[in-house]
Amino acid sequence: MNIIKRELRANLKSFLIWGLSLVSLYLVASIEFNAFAGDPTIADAMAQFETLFQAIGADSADMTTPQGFLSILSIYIYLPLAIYSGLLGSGIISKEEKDKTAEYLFTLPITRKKVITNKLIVAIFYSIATNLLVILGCYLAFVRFDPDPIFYTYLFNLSIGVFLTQLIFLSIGIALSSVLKQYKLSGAITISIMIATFMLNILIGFVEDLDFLKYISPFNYFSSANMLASNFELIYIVISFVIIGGGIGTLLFFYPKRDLYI
Amino acid sequence: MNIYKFELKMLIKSIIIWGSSISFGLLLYMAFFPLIMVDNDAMLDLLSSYPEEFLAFFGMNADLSFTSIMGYFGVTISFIYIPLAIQASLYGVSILSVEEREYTADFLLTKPISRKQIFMSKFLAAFTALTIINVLVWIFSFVSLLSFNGGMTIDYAGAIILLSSIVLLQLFFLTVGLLISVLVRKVTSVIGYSMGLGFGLYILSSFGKMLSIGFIQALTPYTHFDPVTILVDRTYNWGYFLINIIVIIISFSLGYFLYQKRNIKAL
Repeated sequence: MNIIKRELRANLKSFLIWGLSLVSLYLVASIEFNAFAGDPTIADAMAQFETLFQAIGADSADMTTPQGFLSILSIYIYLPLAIYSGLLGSGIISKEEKDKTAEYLFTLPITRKKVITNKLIVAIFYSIATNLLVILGCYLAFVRFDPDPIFYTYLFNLSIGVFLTQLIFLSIGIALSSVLKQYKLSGAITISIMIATFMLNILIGFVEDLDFLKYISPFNYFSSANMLASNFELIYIVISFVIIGGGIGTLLFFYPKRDLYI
Repeated sequence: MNIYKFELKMLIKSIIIWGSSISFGLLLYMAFFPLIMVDNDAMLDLLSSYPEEFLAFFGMNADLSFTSIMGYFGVTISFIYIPLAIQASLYGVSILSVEEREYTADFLLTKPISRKQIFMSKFLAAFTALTIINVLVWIFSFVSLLSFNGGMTIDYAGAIILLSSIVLLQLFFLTVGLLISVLVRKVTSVIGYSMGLGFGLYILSSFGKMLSIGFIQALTPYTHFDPVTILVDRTYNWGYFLINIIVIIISFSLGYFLYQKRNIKAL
């Protein structure tokens, strides 16, 4: 319990910085949304645009509705929260070795497994907390436009999609920092995987022939079009759970035996 | 000179990794151009029928579609900006602070050299490393433009103007990173700060561009040197250019000045 309290306090500041800056970003976006909201000429242009989007093989959503507008901007919820969780996961595990506090912590009368389980709980807790904070921020920012019921369904789906994406990168982060000898690299590698899959995801959007690569990029698992249509594909959920289970399993299996680098 | 050599040697592995992955990413993106190119004139006709702000929301430009070689090159470079910026911020945040984190500051700072020299050597080492990456981006840009143009005409002058902006983008993130590392009491997480800087500004610039918010666009180098805009105008937006230069000069001199007075944590 002491470890949980300690970690909660240690990670509070970064939680507030990430969460609040994202919320303020979406507040600004909602102010700009005023210009689009319910504008019939734009809705008209949208309808024509549909053909263009189909021609280049991309998805589009109606940007004059709050859910459509948010869905186009939603990649900027996925990305920062994935970064946050990935860094949190790799940092919370590897920081004891980095800050040379591992000797202190692991000589306390508490098993290693218990220590990392507690750390994992805190990491998941803060992932949920940022997720809820940002979704709540979006809700408050857009509720004044009196959105359709589908907006609330979308927010709910978005929250779940973002949360699973967060967990994927969180588990990659914790797995890497428990197996890598060079624990300092775990954050960097997690982030590189993230940026590479993000850029791959955009490339897949451009080039139809690369469609088969979509299983590699977690940003594609819960794409905004699917979230709008409440369409969770089973295969992606399975892949996500395999990655998450694999990451947590790696941590729980390898970390207790880890030769600590001090 | 010794510090410069030592720092550069420390960075070699990182230069190889960043250099190869950025070059690979650039080639990979450009290699797919022939698959997505379409009849450009028809596309431009179609695009010009939409209001500019509307297109901006979807990251398109009425004068240069991404289905043409230069438009696609612009889009590619705008994504290549992200790793370039993150690398520069990473070097900026870490190169001075690493001594305090690894408890080697006592060793380095008791050597008979001034802090000015330390600062300059480290800055130059990081800048040299970034310049190597910059040169690679130039080389692979032209290689890929020549190999994957799908028979379309290449605007060499535009490409040169665009690629010249990379050095300023790198300097911006490097100097701001340096400034951050001397401003905070202790750099706990290098990657946290550099992602916040490099990626945070990218997200901010995307919002600024999509929603056409002027003051946000003035804040980030990603919009100061927006590739597609540069390729259309074939010149810089000199107002943004000036802002960028001023930020570089201020953060460099402030970082330099603050480092002389910094209370370095000793063992």
